[in-house]
Amino acid sequence: MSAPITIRNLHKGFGDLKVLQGIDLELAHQEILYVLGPSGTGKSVLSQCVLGFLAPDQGAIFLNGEPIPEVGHPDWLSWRRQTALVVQTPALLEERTVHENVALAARHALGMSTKAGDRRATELLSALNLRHMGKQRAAGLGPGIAKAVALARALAVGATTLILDEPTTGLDPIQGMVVDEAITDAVRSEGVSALVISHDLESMKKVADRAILLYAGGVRVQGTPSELMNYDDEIWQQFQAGRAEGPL
Amino acid sequence: MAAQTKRKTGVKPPWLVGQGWLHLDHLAVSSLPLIVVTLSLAGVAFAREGAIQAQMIIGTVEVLGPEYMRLTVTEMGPVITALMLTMRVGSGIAAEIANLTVSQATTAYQVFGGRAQRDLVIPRIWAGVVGCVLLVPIGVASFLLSGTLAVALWFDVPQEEFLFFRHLDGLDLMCAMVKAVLFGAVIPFIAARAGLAARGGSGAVGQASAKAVVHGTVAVLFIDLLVAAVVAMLRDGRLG
Amino acid sequence: MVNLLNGLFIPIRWLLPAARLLRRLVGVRPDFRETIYQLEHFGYQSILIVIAAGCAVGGIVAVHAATYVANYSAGELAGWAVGYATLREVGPLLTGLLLAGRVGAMNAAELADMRVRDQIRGLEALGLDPMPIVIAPRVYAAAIAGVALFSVAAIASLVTAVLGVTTASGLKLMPFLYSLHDGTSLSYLFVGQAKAGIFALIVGLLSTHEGLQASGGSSAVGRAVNNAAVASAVGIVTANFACTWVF
Repeated sequence: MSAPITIRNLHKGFGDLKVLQGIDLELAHQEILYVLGPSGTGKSVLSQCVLGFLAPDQGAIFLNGEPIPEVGHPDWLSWRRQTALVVQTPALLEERTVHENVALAARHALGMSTKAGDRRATELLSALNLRHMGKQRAAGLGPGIAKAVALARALAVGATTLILDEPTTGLDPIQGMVVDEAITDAVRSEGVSALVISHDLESMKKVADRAILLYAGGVRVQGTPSELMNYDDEIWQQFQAGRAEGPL
Repeated sequence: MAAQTKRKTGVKPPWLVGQGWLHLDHLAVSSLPLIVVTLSLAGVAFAREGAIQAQMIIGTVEVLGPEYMRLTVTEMGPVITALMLTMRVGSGIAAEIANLTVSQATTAYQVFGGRAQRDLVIPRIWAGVVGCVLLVPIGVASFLLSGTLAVALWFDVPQEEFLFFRHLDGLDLMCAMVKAVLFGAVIPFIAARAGLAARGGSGAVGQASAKAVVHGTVAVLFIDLLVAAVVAMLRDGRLG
Repeated sequence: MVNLLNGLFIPIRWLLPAARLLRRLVGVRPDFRETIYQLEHFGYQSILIVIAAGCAVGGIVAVHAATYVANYSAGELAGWAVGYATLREVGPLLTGLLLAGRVGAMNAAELADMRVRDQIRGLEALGLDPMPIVIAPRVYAAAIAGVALFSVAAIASLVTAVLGVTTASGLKLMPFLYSLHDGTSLSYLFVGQAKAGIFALIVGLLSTHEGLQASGGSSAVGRAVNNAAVASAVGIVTANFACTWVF
C-alpha cells in the first residue's frame, strides 16, 4: 500500500527567494506527523504544494502513490476530498448546527441520502466526543470545539489524509487539548493520516508519532518526540527553548 | 429657544448644516445617473401599461395624460426616487457607520468628548433633505419625459396632448416637495440609527445595512401614504 | 464628476452577472434541507414586513382611487383601478423593491460575511462545491419566497385598498367588490405573479453574486450589501420595463 504522502526533492521559490530546497518526506499510514519551524521557513508553502494549490518548481509529490492532479483536472474535486485541509479558522457554516455542518459534508461529498448523512454525522461526532454538541449552532462554539467539529467535517467528506494548518494556534491550554484529542481520536478511530503544520511543541509531544523541523529550505531534524527531546542540534535546541539569541 | 429645542428633541445646536454639504456629493450627485436611468425605465413601463389599459377600457389614450402627470408628480416620481436612494444611500450610510461602530471608533470618539449620535446623524439628514429635494424633480422629469416619449412613439399621442401641466395645482407640487423633504430626512436617519446599533463583527455591518434598506423602504411607503391621505383630505376640504 | 452616459450602462452592468450566475446554476441540484432553511429564513420571516408594506401600498392605491371616484364620479372604474394597480402594476414593483431590501440585502450580507470569514473557502478546501450547498439553495429560495410573498402582499394590498376606497369614497362594499371582480381580469393576477417571480429571481441572483464578490473585512460586507441593494433595484426596474413588452 502506497504512503499517503510522499515528497521527493521538493523545490519551491518565489522569484529570488528560495523557500523549499530539496525536501524529502513521507507520511505513513495512520501516522501523525508534525511539521515544525519558525515563521517563514516554508511550512505553509509545503502544505500548499501538497494540496496542489502551488506547483513545485522541481521535485514530485505523490498522494497514495499517485501524482497530484492540477487545478482544473476533472478529478480535482474528488481528489481534493481525499486530502482534506482543515484551515486555521474553523470556517464552519455558523448559522447551521454542529450536526448539520458534518451531515451536509457527508451528503454532498459522498452522495449520501439525508438519513445516511445524519447517521454518519452522529458516528463521527461520537468518535470525537462531540455528540453532545450536535444541536448547538456553530456560531456559539469555543474555538477548540469549532476546530474539532471542522475535523469531523473533514472526515465526513471521506478524507484519508488530513492536513491541519496551525490547529492549536491562539487557543488556551484547555481548548488546545480538545483539538489534540480530536486529532488523536480521528486517526485512531477512522484510520486516517495527519500532517500537522504547527509551532506548538506541547501539542507535538502529546500527539505526534513523528516530527520534523524545517530550516533553511530543508528538513533540519526529524524523529519521534522522545528522540527529539534530547536531539543535539543548535537550531533545534534554540527552537525548542524559545530563545531569541541564536542562528534562528 | 435652543433650550426648548433640546428638551423637546434631545438635539441641541449646533445643527451642523455646513457638514451636511460634505455628504451631499455622495448622496445626491453620485446618485444622479441611477435616478435618471431607473426613473426613465419606470416611466416608459408605466406609460405604456397605462396607455394599453386606457385603450382597452376607455377606448382612447388621450385621457391618460393628466392623470399620468399627476401620479408622476405626486406619487411615482418621489416614491421611486426615494426607494432608489434607500437602496443606494441608505445601505451605504448604515454600512459606513456600522463599520465605525463595530471597530469601536464611535466609542473612542465619545470618550474624547464627541457626540456620535449628533455628528454622524445630523449632517447626513441635512444632506438627505437637500439631496432629495434636488433629485425628486429630476426623477419626476425623467419619468415624465420618458413616458411622454413612449406614448408618442407607440400610441401617436403628441407631447402637447400628454403633458398637461395646467392640470397640476399647488397641492400636487406641495405634496411632491413635502414627500421629498420627509423622505430625504427619514432615509439617512433610519440608516444612521441602524449603523449605530450594530453590535458584533462583519456580520453586524451586513445586518445593519440590510436593516436600513428594509426599514427605509417601509418608512417611505408609510410616509407616502400619510402625505397622500393628508393631501387628499385637504383637497376634499376635510382639513383646514 | 457625474457621468450620465455611463449611467446608461447601469442596467447592463448589473444584469450580465445575473445572467452568468443563472447559466452556472443550470443543472445544479440544490441541497433540499438548505433550500427549506432558506425558504423559512427569506420567506416565513419576511411575512410581517410584507403585510405591513402591502397595507401601505393598498392604502396609497385607495387614496388615489377614492380621488378618481370623487373627481370623476367613476365609481365603476374604481374596482378596475384597485385591481390593476395592486395586482399588475404598482403592487409587484413596490413589493419587488421591498424584497430587494428584505431578501436581497440580507442574502448579500450573509454571503459576504461567509466569504470574508472563509466559510466558503472552508467548504472548497474540503473539495465541496459551494454551488449546491450554499449558492443554489439561496437563489431558488429567494425566487420561491418572492412569488409566495407577493401573494401575501397582494392580499394585504387588496384588502386595505377595498376597505380604504369604500370608507373614503362612500361606495358600498358589495357593489365595489362586484366592480373589482368585473374590472379585474385573472390575467392581472398571473402577470403580477409572473413579474414577482422574475423580480425575485433577479434579486436572488444579483444579491448572491454581489455577496460572493466580497473580499476584505467588514467594509467589504457593507459594500456588498450596498451593491446588492442597488443592483437588485436596477434589475427590478429594468425587468419591469421589459415585462411591458412580454405581458
